[in-house]
Amino acid sequence: MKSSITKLTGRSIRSFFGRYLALLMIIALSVGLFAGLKITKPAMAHTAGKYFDEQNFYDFQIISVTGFSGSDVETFGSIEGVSRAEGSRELDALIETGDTIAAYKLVAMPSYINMPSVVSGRMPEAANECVVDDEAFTEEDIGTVLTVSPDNSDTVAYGLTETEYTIVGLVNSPLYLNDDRGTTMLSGGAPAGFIYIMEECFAGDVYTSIYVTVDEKEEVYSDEYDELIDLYEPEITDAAETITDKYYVLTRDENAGYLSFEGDTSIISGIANIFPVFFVLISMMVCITTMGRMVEEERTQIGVLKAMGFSDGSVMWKYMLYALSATAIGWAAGFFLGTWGLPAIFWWAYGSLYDFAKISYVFSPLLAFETLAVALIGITGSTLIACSREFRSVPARLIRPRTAKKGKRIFLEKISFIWKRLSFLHKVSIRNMFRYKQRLVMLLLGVSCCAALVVTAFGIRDSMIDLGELQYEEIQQYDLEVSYIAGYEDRVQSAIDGLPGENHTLAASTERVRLTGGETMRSVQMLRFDTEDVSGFWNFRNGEEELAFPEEGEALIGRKVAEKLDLNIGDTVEIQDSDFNAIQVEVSGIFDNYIDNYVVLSSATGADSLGQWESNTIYLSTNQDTHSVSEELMGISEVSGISFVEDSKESIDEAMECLDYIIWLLLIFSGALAFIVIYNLTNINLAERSREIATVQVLGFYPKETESYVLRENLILSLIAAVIGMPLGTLFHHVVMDKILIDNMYFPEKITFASYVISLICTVLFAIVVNLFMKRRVNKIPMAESLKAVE
Amino acid sequence: MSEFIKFSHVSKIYKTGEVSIPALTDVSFGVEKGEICVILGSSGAGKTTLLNMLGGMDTVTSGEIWLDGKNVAALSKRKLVEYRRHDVGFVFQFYNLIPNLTALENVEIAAMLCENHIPAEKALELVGLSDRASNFPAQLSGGEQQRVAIARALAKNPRLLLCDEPTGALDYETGKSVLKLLSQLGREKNTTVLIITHNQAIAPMADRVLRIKSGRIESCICNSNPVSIDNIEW
Repeated sequence: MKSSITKLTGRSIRSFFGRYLALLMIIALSVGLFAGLKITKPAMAHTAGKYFDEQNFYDFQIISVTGFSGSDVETFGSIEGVSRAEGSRELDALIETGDTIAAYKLVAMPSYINMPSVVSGRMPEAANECVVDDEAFTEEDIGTVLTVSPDNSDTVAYGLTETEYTIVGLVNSPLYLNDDRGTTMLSGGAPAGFIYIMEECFAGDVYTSIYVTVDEKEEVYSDEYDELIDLYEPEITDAAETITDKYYVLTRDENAGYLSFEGDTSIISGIANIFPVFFVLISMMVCITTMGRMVEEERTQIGVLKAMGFSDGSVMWKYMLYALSATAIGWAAGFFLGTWGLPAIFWWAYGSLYDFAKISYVFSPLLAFETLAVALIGITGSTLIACSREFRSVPARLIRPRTAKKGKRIFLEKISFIWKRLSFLHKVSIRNMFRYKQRLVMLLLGVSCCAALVVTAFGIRDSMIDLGELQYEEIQQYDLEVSYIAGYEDRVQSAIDGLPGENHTLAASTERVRLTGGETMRSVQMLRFDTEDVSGFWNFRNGEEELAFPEEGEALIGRKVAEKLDLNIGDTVEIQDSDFNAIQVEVSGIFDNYIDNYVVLSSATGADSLGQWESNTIYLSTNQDTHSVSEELMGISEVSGISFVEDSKESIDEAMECLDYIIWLLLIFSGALAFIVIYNLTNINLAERSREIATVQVLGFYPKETESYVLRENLILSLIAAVIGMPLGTLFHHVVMDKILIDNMYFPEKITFASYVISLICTVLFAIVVNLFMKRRVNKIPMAESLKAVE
Repeated sequence: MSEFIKFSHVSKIYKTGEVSIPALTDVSFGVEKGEICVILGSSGAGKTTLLNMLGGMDTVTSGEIWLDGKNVAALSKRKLVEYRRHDVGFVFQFYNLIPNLTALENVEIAAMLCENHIPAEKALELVGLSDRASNFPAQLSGGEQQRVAIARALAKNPRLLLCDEPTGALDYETGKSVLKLLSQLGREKNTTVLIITHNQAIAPMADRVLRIKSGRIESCICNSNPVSIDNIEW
């Protein structure tokens, strides 16, 4: 008995192949999107993790002003649980290539930790060979000779044993995951790139820093990894203390590339949390209508089978088999295409920022099980719902055709001053809209979701795209940040005073501190000023309101860290510096700040606990070329670094450009969603109303009139849905932005008016395209056949 | 008097894959203007095919169909729509009213297509259903629905009224009243009416009786003395 039912299933699939395919596709699409988006962030993290593992990325970096000896390295190596400790040597030097000269970071080729990976060419084998930064050089540069410039200081001249290096390969380094190459004392600003040379090319035997790896391994960017680091940190710190009193222990979190990789990819998890849910919801609706339609079309067959003595179960099995086979194929195709394709697409989108390795395929058995279970439950449920209605009827009733859905007046007809004004055919369309409530709801829901997703996509862009401008033009209004050894303000200031052009300065004391509020702690940048007037350099405001400079014992804090620590105005917060000196201050204001986290104090605050105010930073606004200014100031030996606001802005802008690809991806998916929903519903509509459509054709409707008779309601509903989608999208956008968890960035939640307009247009355009597609089908309905005696 | 409708060697072959099924073979006949013509034949004889081709709903395989000097078989798709729109009124066995429109609206939708239409209210009045104007089809009996369908066909003021088994789904008395209505209205407006039926008994009411068997014309007989439907029993 089962086998004849199986045969019938096969026949149903063949005779309605388009419908079977549509069912299969929607399952594939939603499973693919769900699984693909969910796996993208883990896949990217895994790719980075694998790369870090292969290159033996450090767990701790210990830096000392005085440097380390070989025995210092051994001290760390002998700590229990430490797998390896390796001394590292670095030197910034001016390098000549052909007729250009630029500052590069020269790094000794490590033997184990932080190994660079070869992109092309080979590793250096002799003292006069080098491998270079893949970002700064191209394959054509292999074979070129780099010369250490004679303009270099004595430190460089005596620090290197060779002056000429032939490029033998291009490499990536785990230390420089993104395009941030750190800062250099030379030539002002950032080095042009890094160059690895053999260790013996460095004169002397002093290491600039020590890298340490521990035995235990944990998934990168996981809480477990953070716990592991917390576990080892005291021992490392103790060891460092026995060697020198001037040291820093840094973790991976202090590595710019490592940190920004997590931030830049976290937008995906925001999207992954909301988009797939709607796809699953909508595809479930599509399944219910598709199966419902199928069961209804075959009700005669169901009646006959039941009359012949087949049990409900075995007849239902036919539909189950139909649906389950579509689910199985759809799931398999969707899951593997999604989990393979989406991470690859995102990786490609991020390629301009991170291209250190090929994306690895991550198979998550849990995710596979979850998606399969949801798909199966969804489809089984939909089929049961669809079947139950028909199966309750006795065979005799099933064999007779279902009576057509009765016509009904709608509410609007009672408002006669509107109703009267409508043309006859518009009245018909409006009444039809309300005739099939289920379809009305589904079309509204599907298309408004689509519109909402488009709004969300554009909203994400709106909220992020001008982050650099907001931070580096409106808040940090200066051009250069000059850091120097505390106490040398006069020296730097007088050098600035000697510069040509107009230069304005503001001195500050800056330090990395821990901010604790309640149970939560965050590392933030503390700024202390001995003047209340910081205008022109820093702009502390809350929306339109300009914030008053904090009094003694008060602090202004940035919006993101205020949110993270759940702080409001009037709350008390603890600041602790690197020497464990602590002070309690009252929050007097929360200011708009988008990148990094700051706490702002007056110089009077904490004079007795944090130490007497002494500036170590000068913010400089200049009308001169920033690079030439920087070059001048770098000549002062007490100046330890200069950073360019312009550069920071550029690098953030570059990261945000990746967003455009993501927006496109979301637009394509939203379009597909609208297409599937409208196509599916219109198809059912056409099938159910073929008699009616044939009738108006016989009456002499022109093709255009027939099309609009059937499809006008789609367009009206799509338009209404698109409008509903606008507030819905605002809500989605809020949820997505809320899920983007980056500690050192604050995204202002905003959607521009233009985005709403574009989203509305996009959605209506999607609807129009589907309708154009459906028009052909409307006119293909065969008149004579549709009007034949009832099936 | 020249013939209003003229079929000339019309054949229709339905092709499904490899199989060809002839529905009509070499059909030739004529009907004069204002006549009521009954087409008789058993089921599958090709009656409906003939009517559909005359009504511009189906194409011929070969042959010509002339209506008042116009070859319907040679019309373009666009012209066929115009032809259906202005010249033809259809009445079907299963009424084919639009369920979501009231009786009046079902007539309106047809009336609005033609310039010189009969107002929908007037058409409903003609079939005696003015009082049911605001009812939906589901609220009407079979006979009432068929009368609405007739009103819809008449409202276009067609030159040709084609009825495919108009009484097929109706009981005896209702069927009779519908036929009476059709013949009465046809004669009043001098509209040519073609009625398909398999009920031999109603043949005497027609001006002309066409018998079809297996796709061929068996006979085409003029009845110079049609009987009123009231005097026919079956």
